[in-house]
Amino acid sequence: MSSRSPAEEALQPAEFAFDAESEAQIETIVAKYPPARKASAVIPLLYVAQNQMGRLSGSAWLPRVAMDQIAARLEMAPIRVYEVASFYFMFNVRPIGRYHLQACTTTSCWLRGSDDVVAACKTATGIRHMGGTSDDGLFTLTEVECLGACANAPILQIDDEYYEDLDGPRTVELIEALRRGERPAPGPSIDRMGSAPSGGRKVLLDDDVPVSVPGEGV
Amino acid sequence: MMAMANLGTRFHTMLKGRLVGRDADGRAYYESRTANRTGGGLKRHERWVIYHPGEDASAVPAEWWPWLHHMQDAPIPESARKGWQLSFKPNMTGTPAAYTPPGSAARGGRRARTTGDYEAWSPDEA
Amino acid sequence: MVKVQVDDVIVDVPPGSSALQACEAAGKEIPRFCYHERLSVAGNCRMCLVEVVRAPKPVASCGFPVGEGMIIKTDTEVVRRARRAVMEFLLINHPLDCPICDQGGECDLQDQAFGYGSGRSRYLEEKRAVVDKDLGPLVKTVMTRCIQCTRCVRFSTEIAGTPELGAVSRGESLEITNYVEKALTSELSGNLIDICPVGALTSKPYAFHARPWEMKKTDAIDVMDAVGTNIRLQARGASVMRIMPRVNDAVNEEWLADKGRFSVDGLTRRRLDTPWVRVHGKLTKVSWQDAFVAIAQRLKVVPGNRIGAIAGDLCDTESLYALRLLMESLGSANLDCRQDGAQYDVSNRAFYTFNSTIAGIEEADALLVVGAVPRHEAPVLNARIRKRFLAAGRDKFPIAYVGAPPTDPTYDYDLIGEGPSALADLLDGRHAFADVLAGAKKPMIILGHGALTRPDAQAILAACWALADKVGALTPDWHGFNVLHTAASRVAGLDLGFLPGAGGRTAAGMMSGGVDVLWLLGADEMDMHRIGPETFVIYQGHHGDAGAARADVILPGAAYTEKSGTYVNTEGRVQRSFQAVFPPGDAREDWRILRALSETLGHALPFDTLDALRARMEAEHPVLARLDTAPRFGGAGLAAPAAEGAIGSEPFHPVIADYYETNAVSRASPTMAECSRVYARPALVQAAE
Repeated sequence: MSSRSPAEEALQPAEFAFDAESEAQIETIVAKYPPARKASAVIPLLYVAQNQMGRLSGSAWLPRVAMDQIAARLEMAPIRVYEVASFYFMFNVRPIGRYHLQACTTTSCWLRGSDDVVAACKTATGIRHMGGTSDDGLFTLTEVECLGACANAPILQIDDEYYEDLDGPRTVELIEALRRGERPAPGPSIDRMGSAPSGGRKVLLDDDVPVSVPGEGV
Repeated sequence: MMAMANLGTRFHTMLKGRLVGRDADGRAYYESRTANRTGGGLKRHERWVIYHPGEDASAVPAEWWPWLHHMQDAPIPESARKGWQLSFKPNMTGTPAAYTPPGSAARGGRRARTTGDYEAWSPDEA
Repeated sequence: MVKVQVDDVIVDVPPGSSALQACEAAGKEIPRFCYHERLSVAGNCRMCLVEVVRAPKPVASCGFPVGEGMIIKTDTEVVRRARRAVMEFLLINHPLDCPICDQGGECDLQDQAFGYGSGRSRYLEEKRAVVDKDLGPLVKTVMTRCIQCTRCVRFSTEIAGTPELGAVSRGESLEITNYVEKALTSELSGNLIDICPVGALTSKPYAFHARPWEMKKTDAIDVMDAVGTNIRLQARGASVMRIMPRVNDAVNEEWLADKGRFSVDGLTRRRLDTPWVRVHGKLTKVSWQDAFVAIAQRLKVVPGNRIGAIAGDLCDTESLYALRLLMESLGSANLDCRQDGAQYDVSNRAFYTFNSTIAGIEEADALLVVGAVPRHEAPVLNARIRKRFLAAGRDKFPIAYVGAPPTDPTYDYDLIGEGPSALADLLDGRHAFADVLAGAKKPMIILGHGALTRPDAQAILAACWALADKVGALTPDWHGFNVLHTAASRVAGLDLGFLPGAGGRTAAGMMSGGVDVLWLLGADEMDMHRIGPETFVIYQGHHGDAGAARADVILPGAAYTEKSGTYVNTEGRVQRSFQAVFPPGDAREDWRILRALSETLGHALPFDTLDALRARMEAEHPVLARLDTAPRFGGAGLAAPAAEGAIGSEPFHPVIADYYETNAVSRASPTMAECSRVYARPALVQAAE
């Protein structure tokens, strides 16, 4: 069974209703599209539903009733919503843990040690295989393709945040912090600002000297 | 003689034809006197048959059929006929003697039961 | 027109055509899986690759528009190699199970692999397996065979109008599914089997029964509804194994409703295969001669006006005609082909036929449905309405219903009233839809049997005609007044005048003691308890159903697959159906039974062969001699039908409660019983609550 196939009947909640916070978001989203083309709002609405599930139940996923709700609101056939939700890896059609660990294993991250990050995720959470959820229900580990932050490889995306420049021990530390209920600041886990060189500036050390770029005037 | 042929065919037969032979039922088979047709990449003689009235093309017997269609150079002699060969029967479609499959009303409307056949209704089940 | 050169042939094609259509116009066969003439273009199988001169690489011809002076090459080494490569990819995950696959012998993939398939596989990795889906009692799935052409997704979305199938997930795990394990809810779901190019969707009832090359094919007409769908009966030995549609763009395009396709197993069950006579209250098997004698003895003591005949819904025109002649010779005017009690005005054929014609729906620009449920009464015709609805574009083909449809009709509609009082609103112009109809160039009104079977039918018919006249639906080149029939034999019966003659009684009158001898020609859709116990009932038909159970004499006849017959569809189109197999046991073709009996009764009918019968029938009713045409005629200058009585106020009720069981054949079919259990019963239970 692939991770994209729907959850079993037993896991599906009987009903789903958007709460006030979601309704407010939906109102702004749907207003962006002409009434005859409101089906275009399906992806943002799926995010709203998934986030609400995460907020209320601790597991950010899309039960079938939620997708049916969206289909009814946007006047589309439910299968069209299922198609979209199951196509994009950003939507979870099966229940996941409270924290969604998305480890990038594409070339750049792999060369920079993503195997260590994945191994650390597995040992720290007890997850045995990709796509699995830890026994305590806190973590789900997913293998993802390039997250577009290769300068800070290897990357571990947790829910919507990027944790960069990881290695094995720092990954374990990160997971332990999450387990304690903390949310460490996202970004590089080493002495580095954004994608700037680690250990501070390597060029233009003398701020006073005017810079001359070839081909351009000073 | 010249039993079933229109005027054009008769003239053609008279002017160009050479009688090759007759089959057991008396149909006449002709070949042109000159090799006036191209077939199979070669110049060759035109071959034709004069039917009895009302016959269709299936009437040509097996002895003459290969010759007529340029498959063999000479007709098969009558003496080569085997005992198991059936005599010619014309196509009966459209006549009262047409073939009817078993079960047809024309053959008494009875057919043998077969596997996967029907289940009959009986008043008890209603 | 655009001039295109295909190989050596130069063809003119309309602008906007695809390269594939140009190739077809040039007589070149292009292999394809996902492309289908009646579906939108998907372009995802890539099998139809051709070379276009000056294009850098092979193009998928199905989605490539033609341009002036384009040169297409369909048979070059580049094209052949490209197609071979596509085929190799398609076959990577396709199982090699042709010997156990029902599609074997009629499989597009199998056929095209002959031309483009490689003799061996270079693929050493693991093959993909896909879980089979449960799509209900009609369509069997073997999803590992699926090549993801998405024809089924497009069919269910576009033609059937029940968007339940989709392609979920992505990449290697892409699957065709309805996501929820739920039976398809379309009355056209059987067509998925035909459009699937491989063996992923096959017929569940027919699974492992026969191979396509074993079958003898016979052209016939479907009698399960009044559309007159052109079908091909496929018989092996003594029984029809399956029924498939034939292409007829004027009638059914290439679709067939599920009841017509899957009722086939009802043809071998509950069959009447021998005459029965009731002796001391118990039916006993007898010979034909004894049955005839029993009838003759009974008729001897009954005056002609105490004999009556009611014809059922599945009868061929020939047997209706023969029975009418027999009744006339016996001196009876008690004839009726309307077992449902419908009322028509037969003074003009236009008052009881579908005058716009089915193909004409595609020209209409507004539609009013009165007391009809096209989705259940004529699913294929409903697909044509949906086709027009989609082709017209948003709000360009407004549709309104008077009388609420029990299920989604598969297109947007306005409900403008539950009962006929809405007609008065439309006539007065009080309802806004009256302006819509009046503003349309070719408005259509479809009048159904939900209205015609009511006591106030004549008044409703007259009101609909008046409305059609008022909104400009009756013009010299357009006839927008339509009656949608539900019985295959009805229009023929009305054409033949199988109706009460002078002083004759109607079906209801005959049943409630109006006659002493009642002849039921395949009439089962009536409450047999209304027939008095002293009435002598002769049932002539092919299935043991309500009529046979009540009968005093049963004469076993032939079902529609077992006789050559003429059928007239709701448009008034006369179509001929041919015999595929023989009737079971001692059963005979119906006209033959009537002819034989007439001799015993001393009123020998004036024909000995079917051809003689037809010649006589066509001489008497020339309209029945016009085969396969439904002449389009304008509706201007016709007198209006007679208006009798006042319109009632009761809401319209659908005439079909359970689509899957509407006649003796479908009731005998286990497949239809299963469909009824799955689809109709839950709805019926809900409706009752």
